Amino acid sequence: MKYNVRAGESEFEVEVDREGAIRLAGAPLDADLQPSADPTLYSLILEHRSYELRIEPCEGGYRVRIDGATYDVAVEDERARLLAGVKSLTAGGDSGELAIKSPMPGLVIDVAVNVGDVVEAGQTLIVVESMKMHNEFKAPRAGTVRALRVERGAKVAQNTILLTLA
Amino acid sequence: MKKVLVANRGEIACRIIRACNEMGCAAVAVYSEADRNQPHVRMADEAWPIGPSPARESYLRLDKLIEVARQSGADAVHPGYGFLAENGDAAEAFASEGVTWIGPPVKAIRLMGDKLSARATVAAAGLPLVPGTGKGERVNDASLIASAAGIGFPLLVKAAAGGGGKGMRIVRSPAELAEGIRIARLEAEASFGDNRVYLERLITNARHIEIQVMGDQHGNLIHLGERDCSIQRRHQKLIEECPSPAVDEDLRHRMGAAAVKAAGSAGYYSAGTVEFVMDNDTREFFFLEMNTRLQVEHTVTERVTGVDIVKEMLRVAAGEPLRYRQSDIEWKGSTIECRILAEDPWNNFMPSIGTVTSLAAPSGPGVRIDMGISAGSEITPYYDSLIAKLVVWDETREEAIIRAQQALKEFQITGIETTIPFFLQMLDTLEFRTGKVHTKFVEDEFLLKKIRNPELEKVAAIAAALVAHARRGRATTLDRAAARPSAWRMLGRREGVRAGS
Repeated sequence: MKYNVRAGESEFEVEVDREGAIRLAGAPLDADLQPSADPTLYSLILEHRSYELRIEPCEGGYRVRIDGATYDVAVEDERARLLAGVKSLTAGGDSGELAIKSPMPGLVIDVAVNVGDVVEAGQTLIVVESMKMHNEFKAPRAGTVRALRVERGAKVAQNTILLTLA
Repeated sequence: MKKVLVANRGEIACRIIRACNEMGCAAVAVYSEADRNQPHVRMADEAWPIGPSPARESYLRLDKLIEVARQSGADAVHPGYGFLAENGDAAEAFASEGVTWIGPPVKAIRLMGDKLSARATVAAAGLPLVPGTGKGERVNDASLIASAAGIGFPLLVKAAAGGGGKGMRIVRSPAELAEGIRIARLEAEASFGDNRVYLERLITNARHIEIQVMGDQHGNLIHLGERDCSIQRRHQKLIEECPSPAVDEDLRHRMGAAAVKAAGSAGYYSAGTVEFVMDNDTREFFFLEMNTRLQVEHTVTERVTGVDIVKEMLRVAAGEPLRYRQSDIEWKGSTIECRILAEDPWNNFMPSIGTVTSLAAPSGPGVRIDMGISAGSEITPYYDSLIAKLVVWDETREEAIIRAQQALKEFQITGIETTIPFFLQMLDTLEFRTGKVHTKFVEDEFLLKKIRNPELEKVAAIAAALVAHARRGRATTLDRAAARPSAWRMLGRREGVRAGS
């Protein structure tokens, strides 16, 4: 099976044959990956160079951590690649409305705008407190407040839509 | 003291429980609903639930904490930092129950807890202050704005009851002042239930230098030297070190003497910290505030002086005299602490919430970890984001930096994002290595870079491809794999079986 792998800005073609032999860009490679009882801990020996890795699944592939560095690695086999090609043709366009979401759970401590307000880029819209920090959500672009989905004092979950800008 | 109530959570609760155990005291933990499975609960001799997850309904509920002290028979309470640690009413309420407060006297907490009365007190004792307004009265916006011209811009709007960077706003021009005051008041009201604010000159090329003091109930008061906490972001400290690269022996003794004078003016005993802002250009120092509690970064001082500050606090609370005189205190080597936070440095330090799926802490000579989580811990939005403190010592600052980098590389945490990548790059900057930083360095000059490393990208790519291949669990591969033993194929088989395909 051939895999197209993207890590950082590099792309690699990794092939694993039915015997388990590995090729990188067509060239044979001596690679030994060992899992452990700790489900995210792996040892990789690559041409006698030894690496300790933490690997866990993430959206679109795997998050790999080595020596304090993190790589989000997208792994695509030939079949997935074909499917992805079809999807991108059918995906819809941008509606023009912009939803401001809270990337973390927290408490809404201030709502600085009302529905219908015209806002400038960078203007503070909503302040959410999480982990004792006040996170100000600012307008990423100029626009009009189309809808307010939360009020002051509301608890919000991760990815809650706070308001929409038109 | 036979039994100590530890009125806190996380790493500092673990730190205090350790000290109690070492001194033969029982430790009583408290926990909110979110914290049932946190290490401090398991480490303690007793554990009592105190309510729902939000701090206001649990760790800040003085009535529940007093009830736990009563029912468990605790004869002392250690508040740690944050929560009720600098709350004079809490200290007084415990005292009236006959429960010893492991900290300074109530009077000193009150005096230093209000920044305005603190400034007046230490100014009377002869300490230099940063130019600013206010003497504790409720000042309206108009008179604040009127006095701003005399102080000059940039300036800070600060909460009178504040601490830890809450309710604090930088204002760079007169046009921003009204909005800055509005937001500072809002944050002050939300954090402290007190919207009083005051103005202060902002020194732009500033270092944050603080002095650890320690006193007993017999009038002995000493200092344990400085900590340089100039690497901060949004007024939250990220790195602390001792010695400071900007403080020589003469300056240490002058600042130490000033700190002792400040503490003395408040009738202080137990552990405390006097914070100064130091002008990098003139090497002048000004009193900022005094923290009347154990500090997050007390560990740095412990490492270079050898004094166990928490055990000393317990002894002082029990009425014992300090075990050290000023002349006993020596500073050996160099220590750097990195605060490992559940925040994503790639995403503007946004809080990172989730389950810690695995955890491996560094070890080795000179490496100390104070940690309040374990594998499987939930990082919740209810409390601050500090999950561990990495405290690294070596004989020189240069070696301590190298050792800290090694330890950071060994520190493996998955499931959440942490500030580890930030520290790896920060410790590598020329500015940090030469000690030429200031309190705005992180925000104004430092930029976290995506450093390309094609070799590691290749390693990550190969490993991820092999894991993906193994998880496909294709039967044909598994059959053939059995014929020739190869390590990674064993993985394929195991994982394939687990996937059930």
